[in-house]
Amino acid sequence: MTNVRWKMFNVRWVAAVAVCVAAVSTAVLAQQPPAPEGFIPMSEVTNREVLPAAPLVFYAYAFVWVALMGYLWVIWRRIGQVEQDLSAVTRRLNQGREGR
Amino acid sequence: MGQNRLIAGLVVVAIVLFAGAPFVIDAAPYESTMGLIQKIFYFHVPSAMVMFASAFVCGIASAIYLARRTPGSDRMAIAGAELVVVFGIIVLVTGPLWARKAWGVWWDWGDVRLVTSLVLWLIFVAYTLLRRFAGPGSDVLAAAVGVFGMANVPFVYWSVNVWRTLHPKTTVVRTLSPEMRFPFYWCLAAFLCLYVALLLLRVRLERSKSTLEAVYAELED
Amino acid sequence: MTPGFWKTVGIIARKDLVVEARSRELLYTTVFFAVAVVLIFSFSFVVDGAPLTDAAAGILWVALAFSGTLALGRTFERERQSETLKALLLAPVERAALYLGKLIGMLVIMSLVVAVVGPLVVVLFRVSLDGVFWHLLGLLVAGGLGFAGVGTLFGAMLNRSQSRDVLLPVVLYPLTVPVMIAGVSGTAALLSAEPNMARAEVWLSMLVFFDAVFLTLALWVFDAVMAES
Repeated sequence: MTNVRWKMFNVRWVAAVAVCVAAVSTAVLAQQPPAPEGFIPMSEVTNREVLPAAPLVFYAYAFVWVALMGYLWVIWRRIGQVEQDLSAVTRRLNQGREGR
Repeated sequence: MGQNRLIAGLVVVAIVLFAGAPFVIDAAPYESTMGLIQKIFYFHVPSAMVMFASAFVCGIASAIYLARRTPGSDRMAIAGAELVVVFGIIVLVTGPLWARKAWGVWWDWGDVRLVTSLVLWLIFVAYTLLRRFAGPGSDVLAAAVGVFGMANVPFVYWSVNVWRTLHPKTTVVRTLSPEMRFPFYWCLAAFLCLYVALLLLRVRLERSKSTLEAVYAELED
Repeated sequence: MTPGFWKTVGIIARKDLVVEARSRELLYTTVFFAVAVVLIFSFSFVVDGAPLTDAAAGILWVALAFSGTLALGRTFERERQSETLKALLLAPVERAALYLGKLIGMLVIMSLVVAVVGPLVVVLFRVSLDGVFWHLLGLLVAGGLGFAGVGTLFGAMLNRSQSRDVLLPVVLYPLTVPVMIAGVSGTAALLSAEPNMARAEVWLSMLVFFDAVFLTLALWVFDAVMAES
């Protein structure tokens, strides 16, 4: 039972992550300027103007936030699960001792 | 429990600092040549610092575990190694985003810190893989990887450095203008608070897991 | 009466070499594997009939690292099949001697691989060794010692683990990155059209330093790790 639940959980997460990655990558790819045609003087196009910095800064910050909070959440959940199991098992153990 | 309060407090402080970070960073002046993109600095550098610190936490804890075999040091080593991987991902994602704009390429093999971070990250990924798949005895094995990984940092850094470099100098933190220093230390504090909280949480997870295993073993008897 | 430290080292190394000399399984397979690696890489690094610059140095070291990993895996597999490592650990000898004995056995195999692959690379990539031979030999010895030193430790430790075949390279390659960078860069400096001896010496000294630190560490760790097994 738990096994099936875990599998579902994993599939859902893989799908969600894939969608996020696809969204971010299309956004990043859309940022890339079309290749210039013909000769364009260096003074008109510098690398800085072609590539806007704001989205890059935004993605970096968003990634930091999502990664750290995601990890915190995962650890928190795992601790909750393990400690729940622990208290259940200890209760059973104590009941068994009293029964004897 | 005292530790619970400490962890909760650290997490709350870290979240407040992280939430405030965009405003503090926004208020900082633009860097003269790199402009807006330089603002990645405020979370790229703290996460790299935390990552290297975590590698040393894991290495020292591993050395203690090899010498004394205290379970606490083993748990600390696991937590340290896993956090190297987590903060390493952040470094390795934000670094290329900065490099794309500042240097025009996603990745630059000539850059010491980027390559050193990658190698260090790989070593600690190997550590977590060992922990997961090596079966019985993996604790000692992983401890050896932790010690060797820590000892490897100066060698990797030196060899990549001689190989070639075009990164901003390490002294950049000390020469930072005061308006830039404040947001930097703000973000560093945020990362450190969160790091300590995550480390303590991860250690606690390992401790609960081993208690659970002990109780199960007792139940079977 | 237990034999002295260096005598034990000699006995263990000789044991490995005698076993190997009887079957020659490890030697033949490892050398042939290294040759195959060189050929495969040649196909990707020879463009328009001429090799890319510095390709020879890279291919030499990659072949050495790959075949070294293979040999490490095999030599400890052999110990595992007949539980001989356990028996060795039960013997009243110093663990450090055990480690050094295995390391020497490994180095002999690797030097035989170099003896075949080195000339092959020289011939295939039209390399000139005039005046750089001893420097190159120094790089190969120091680099091989560093690689085998770390490799023997983890090979021995992984001996009884699950999925050890894949975990050995997973652990070994990231840890020996400095050896690879130093070895490839130093060799490239020697094999270029105008050999840069000073540069090669910088890399050589780094390799020697690496060997000193990691062999010392390995001796300590080997003692601690194999203590209770």
